[in-house]
Amino acid sequence: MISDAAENLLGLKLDGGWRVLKKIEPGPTATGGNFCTGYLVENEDGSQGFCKALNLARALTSPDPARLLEELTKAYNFECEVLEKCADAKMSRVVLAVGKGVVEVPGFYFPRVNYIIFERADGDIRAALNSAAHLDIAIRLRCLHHVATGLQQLHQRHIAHQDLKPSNILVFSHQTQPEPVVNKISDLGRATDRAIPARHDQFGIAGDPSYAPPEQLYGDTPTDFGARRLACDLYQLGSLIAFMFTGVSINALLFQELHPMHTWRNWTGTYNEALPYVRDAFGRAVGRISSDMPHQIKTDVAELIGYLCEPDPHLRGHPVSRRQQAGNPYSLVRFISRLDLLTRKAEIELQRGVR
Amino acid sequence: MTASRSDTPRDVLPRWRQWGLASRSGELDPLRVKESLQAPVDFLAEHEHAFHERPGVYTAGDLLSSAAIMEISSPSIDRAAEVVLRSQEHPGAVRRLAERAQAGWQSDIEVSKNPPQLESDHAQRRVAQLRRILSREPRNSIRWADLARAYATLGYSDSASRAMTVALQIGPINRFLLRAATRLDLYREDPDHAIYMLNRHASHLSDPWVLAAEIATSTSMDRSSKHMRRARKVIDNRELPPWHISELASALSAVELRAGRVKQARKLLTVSLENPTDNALAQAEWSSTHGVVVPDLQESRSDLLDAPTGYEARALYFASRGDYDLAVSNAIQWLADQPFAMDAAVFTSYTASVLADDHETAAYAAGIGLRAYPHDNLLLNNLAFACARLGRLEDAQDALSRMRLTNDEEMSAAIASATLGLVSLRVGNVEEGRNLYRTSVRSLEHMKYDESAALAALFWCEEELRIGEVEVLREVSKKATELAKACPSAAVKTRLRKLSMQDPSILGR
Repeated sequence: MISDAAENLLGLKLDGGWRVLKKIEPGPTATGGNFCTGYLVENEDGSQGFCKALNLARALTSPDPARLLEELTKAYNFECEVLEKCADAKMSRVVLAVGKGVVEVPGFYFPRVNYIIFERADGDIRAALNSAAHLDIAIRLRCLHHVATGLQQLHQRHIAHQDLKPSNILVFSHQTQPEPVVNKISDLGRATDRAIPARHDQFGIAGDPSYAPPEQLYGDTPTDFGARRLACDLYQLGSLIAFMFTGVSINALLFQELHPMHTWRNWTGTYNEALPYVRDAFGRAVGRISSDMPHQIKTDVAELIGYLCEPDPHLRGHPVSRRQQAGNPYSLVRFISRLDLLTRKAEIELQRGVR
Repeated sequence: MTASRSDTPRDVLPRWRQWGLASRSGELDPLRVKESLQAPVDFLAEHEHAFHERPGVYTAGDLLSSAAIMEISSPSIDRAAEVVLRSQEHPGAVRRLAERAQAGWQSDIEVSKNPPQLESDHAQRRVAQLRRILSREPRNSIRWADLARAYATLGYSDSASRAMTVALQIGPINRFLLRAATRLDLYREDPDHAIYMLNRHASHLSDPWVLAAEIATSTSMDRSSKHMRRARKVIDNRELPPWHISELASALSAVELRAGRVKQARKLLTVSLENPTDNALAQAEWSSTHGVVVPDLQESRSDLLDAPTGYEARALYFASRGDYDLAVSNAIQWLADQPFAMDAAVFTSYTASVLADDHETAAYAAGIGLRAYPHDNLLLNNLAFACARLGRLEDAQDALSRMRLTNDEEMSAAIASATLGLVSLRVGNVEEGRNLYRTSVRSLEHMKYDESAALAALFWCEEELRIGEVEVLREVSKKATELAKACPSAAVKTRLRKLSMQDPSILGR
């Protein structure tokens, strides 16, 4: 029997002129796991959105409801605050909340449901890549350029995403000019904001472990914000670049290249002791994937991955940014410029008929 | 005549292999086994869901990438792998991952069945290959260490040192780098630097592999390590798996053996053999040929000698058993495995020449040794001897002319005199050759190197047999037989047997 109000928003009107059209069957989401229910919503102006309804009632069935409720509430409030900050900064490459509020669902013991409405995407980048095996290099590079820009927008506001992975890169087509397709970073549920503390700030691995940087997989936690948070984002951006061209994450490539006793699953020493081995495996991994990449970009892309996924978080980033005494060693500006340049070159080649 | 260094004690100096072989040997494994991590229940949920919703290469790649992190296998993973492998037009990386998933994430790293290679052009190609890699990955300290090894193999000691300095400066430093750098310092005959470096990174001395290197290095310098107490504690506590303390126990046994504490040495050798490294096994074999019999070695020798890299142990064992062809074939692999190890070059050239009559291999091994130690008199002598026996007299004379003997090297001078005698006889300067042989035998007798004296006389006898002057042959064979009877070592018996095969009447003369 359905007893949760959050499961029963169908047909209801939400603040801001939104109406709940359809329930989206549970696909696990990063924030709150099974404690959120997704809906397709439509605005009076015809635009559509994705509504994430917080299912607090379900938390009451957990072994420790008080603690879980506290955690969920904090996570929800944190996400709302970060989203507000992103909206204030008019971040164009981050999926923003277009509405939020509380809706009352009659007939339930806990009738009030908190929700957030996001811009509606066509899907994530994996689906786009699946459906277009020969997706042009230019389109892939443009997507990466958008993601790097989104990440930079977050970093400028002292927010580190920490859960950048293919499923969190959403594709928005049918956009207005100049770009018909836009890619944005979604899911700030595991982000870290220097100004807003969150429970997951204490976690060794804040986001999805599958895409976590190696230092986190080996249990090493740098203390400063840059090496711990921003370096994590850089690594995940590099891993995303590898995924876009090979279909495999850098961690999976590392796993394949590392001696079994030196992987994070078996290593019992410190990360520092394993680092020479990881770095060697990383070098081989990049060498291997270079051969999978289109020849016209493989040197550039391998170099970008090399900088972004450098196994030592204290050395990660663009070497020129690292060399500058003032400024941010984890700055993404140079990566954005480089991706933009590569994209434009690829677009020109595309126009000339070279694929 | 060829010479060996059988009177020099063996030290458990760290092996230095290139990275791939070292990692596969298990000597770089973590000290403790990690408890198997269980993946959280919903670890793959999001990725599986996406794959089921939109099955395709990229959703499959995403799922496989995530599953690899925790080495998870499931029907979904198998389906994802199938989707990838069915698709013909996708990159190799995702296909390799799918194949690995289908194999249950088993490692595809195989222990190479091919013996190590010795050719210098192989080492030169390796240098070129490593330099190419390092131009792309300048921070790869592992490859810098490999480059140092490749240079050392070619005898470029200074280049090796520079490459190793870079490896250590890049950091962070770990077991592989410390042991490799120690071995390089020992090759460069700079053990003080090795001790300084090992103690400079004192935090690493809690690692028994690094501690073993420190103790072995100190022992090779005839010094007592200041970490002996710590080392004994590690052995006594037995908190670490036998594999990880094998080399340390072996290094300690060498210390005890030098001090004459045979019982202690035997105990430590027994510990070292519980799950031995090839180095510990070689130490046990060496000790057994020097009177320290370890029951565990006798009982399970055949199993232990099966170790893939147990070249030295096998060479020592087969030599002690009189199986010289097998000893030489293993010794040459030992030399290929450790081309900068003086012991390997000397043992191989000596065994091949004196015991196996395989002068081609002897000359080759001495040549390899001379790449690393171009001025070593023992190796130059062994090369000259092998070349002379092969009829390459110019090469033999060239090697002899490169020898620089000092006044305190009486033994080497006596042996060189025998070799010079051989060359002179082969060249046709019969009287000069006989005089040189005569001087050599007398000197060796005088210095009480009975085995060497007997061997010199036996080789001289072989030459006289070839020349065929009956009177001289009678005189020399009488002397040789006399000396051989006084020192019936395995080598002497072997040469005597070979001599009697050439002329069965020789022993009766």
